[in-house]
Parts: sequence; structure tokens; C-alpha cells
Amino acid sequence: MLLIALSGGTDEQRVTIADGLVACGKESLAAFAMTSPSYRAPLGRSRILRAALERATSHAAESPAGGLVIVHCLTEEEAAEVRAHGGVIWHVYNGVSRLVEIRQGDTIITTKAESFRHVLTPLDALSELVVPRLRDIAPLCAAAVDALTDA
Amino acid sequence: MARRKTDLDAGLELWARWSLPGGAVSGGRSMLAKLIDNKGELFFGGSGSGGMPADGIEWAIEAVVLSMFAVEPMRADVLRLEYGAADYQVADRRKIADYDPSGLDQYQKAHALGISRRTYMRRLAEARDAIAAQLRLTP
Repeated sequence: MLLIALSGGTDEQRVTIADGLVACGKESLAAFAMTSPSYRAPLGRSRILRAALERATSHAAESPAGGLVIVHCLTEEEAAEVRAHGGVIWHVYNGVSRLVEIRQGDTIITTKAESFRHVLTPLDALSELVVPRLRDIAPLCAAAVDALTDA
Repeated sequence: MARRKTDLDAGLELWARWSLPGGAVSGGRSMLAKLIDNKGELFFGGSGSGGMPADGIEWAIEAVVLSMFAVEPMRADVLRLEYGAADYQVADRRKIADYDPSGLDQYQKAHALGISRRTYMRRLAEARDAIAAQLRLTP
């Protein structure tokens, strides 16, 4: 199951990004938005998130959702929970969180229409996230694509 | 506001139609029929009346795409999938299971090729630029 946590930017920007991802229908994403408690209670937030993630991942086979977008990843503790469950953190460009660190492998996303440099639109970031998993699912096909590309 | 259709867009559209099985081309027909086929546009570099001359824009684009394939197959394949020009051949060669181009967007086409959407867009832009440069079409 795909787990994507949005960090940085404004509440409105994160909600818009999550809405766009869910509405586009790619990978059948659903959204999980925790509006309280606030970032001042990091342990409370991470405990609630952990329970939600455990439920989501343990019932993944029964769920119609192919992934979950955690709309408000406000603290480092929440980011750690997401990473521990195999998820990824996307940081909103131009509004990086003071509380959530950018780690190697994290993605920087933009609310603009086009990707630029290392900054990706949410759809491009989703595509970058999914392609390696497709290769894991179909290694023979991936090998064929690589052979053609190298030819 | 919709983007104005360029010479390159018009040429690629003619090439895609020409690549369809059965070759839905406007050659050998009246001026009015060509206008209707091309939605009110006449492309004078295209195939003229009386068959398909070897110097038509469709042939020229196909030649560029074939030479592109020899150097950078992914670029040529992205262009074919984007415009639906002999895309069934690409799907067959790459063994894309159950490929049905109807209703596919760039995200799905990219994943069908095993690449990300961003790479797909890059390869598409490179392919369009190469054709525009070699055939001196307005991009």
C-alpha cells in the first residue's frame, strides 16, 4: 500500500494537493487528514497516526484504496511513523516545515502546473514513486524495457 | 485559451492518421474533402492528389522517427504512443499486456512503457524538438 505524507506549505496547499491526488484517480488513493491535536502535541498526533496506519496496512487487502495520503504531516514523530510503515514524505516547495526534516529520498513537490529541476508536481512525484514498484511487480517486463533502452 | 496548432502539431497529426491501419489519408481527394478531413486546415507540405508521394510530410516524419528509433528507441516509442501512430507495434514489441490506447493518458502511457511521467514528457519534448529541427517545422 502506498503511503504518502505531505509536509510543509500551508494547510490549504496540502489539502489542495491531496484533493488533486485523490481526484485524479491514479493508484486509487484515499486521504487521511488529522486536524487535531495541533503540532504542539507531537506524541498524541503520532499515536493517532500509528493506529490509523496500522489499521490501513493490516486491512489493505480488503480496502478499495491503493494508497493513503496523509494530508497533515506536521511533526518529525509523524514522519518517523510514516517512514516506519514504508511510506514516503513529500515536502512542499517554498514552505518547508521547521519541524519535519528533509531526509535523503524525500521528494520536493510544487503546487505549480509543471515540474522544474528537482521539484515535481504531485502527479509526477506519484509516477516516480510507482514506477520502481511496477518494476518490482513485473521484473521480466522491466528487464525487457531496460534491454530495449540500452540497445 | 487553447494553444494555437503549430506546423509541427499539424504534421504530427497527419503522420498519426497516415500510420493508422488502412492509412486514413486525404490523398487523391477533393480540396473540400481534405478541408473536412483536416478540420478546416490545409497542409501544403502533405500528400497531394493522386496517391502518396514520397516527399509528403508523413513520410518525412516517419523517416525521422525511424532514424530516431535507431539511436534512442524510447524517444521514438513515446512519440508513437502519444500520437497513436503505429502504437500497436510498440505495444507488441515491448510486450505490453492488454494495451488499449483508448482513454489512456500520459501517466498511464508512461507506466505502460515502464518510465515515469516526467521522463515520458522529457522524451516527448526531445522527439518533437528533433522533428521540428530536422524538418524545419514551427514547434
